[in-house]
Amino acid sequence: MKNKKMKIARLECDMSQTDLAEAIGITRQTIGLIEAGNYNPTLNLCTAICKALGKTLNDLFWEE
Amino acid sequence: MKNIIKDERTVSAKRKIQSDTLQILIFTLLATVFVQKIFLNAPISQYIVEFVTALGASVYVLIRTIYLGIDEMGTGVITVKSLITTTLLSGLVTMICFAFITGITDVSSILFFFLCYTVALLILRLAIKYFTKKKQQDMEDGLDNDE
Repeated sequence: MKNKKMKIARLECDMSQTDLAEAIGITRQTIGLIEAGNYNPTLNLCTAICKALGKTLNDLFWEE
Repeated sequence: MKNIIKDERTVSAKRKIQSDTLQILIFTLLATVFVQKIFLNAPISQYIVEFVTALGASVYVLIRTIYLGIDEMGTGVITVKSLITTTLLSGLVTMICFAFITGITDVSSILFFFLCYTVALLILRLAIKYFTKKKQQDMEDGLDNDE
């Protein structure tokens, strides 16, 4: 399942996938795969993404 | 925030590649031993290094697995009865392969091989089960103490 919340949050911060990847210290491909729903990140990485985008885990990764 | 974590996807992909490489290496080493022994009738000195390396790598993997408390035989409950049954089946299949490969038709020799192989395998598997359980118990005791 695609992670649209993360993509929207990233665009709200005016960041490209490359910018977010560099901010966290991972590759752009990983960000792309998470947004596309093709990679399941660990809690550690989820937290780092949330901190970089100023969001909580609920905001980005909780599915209703 | 910058560069505080490694890219876990690439790290795990690299580990998977290295793990696959090890498995391919062990398989290739055993295959070369098999070919040299069966088809080329080479003396043991010709393939002993490959054999010891493959065996050593397998033992290393086994020891590390036991040390981490990971059940090598799966996470389900494995009874001694099922362990004996699978070991007997394994012994039977290996005995048939042994008879075909070596061409030995003497029943007592084949039965002796079956007995030795099955007993050795059973002892090994019971030892693995015992040490894994012991390690898991140690880990659980540590967690209980923390609580």
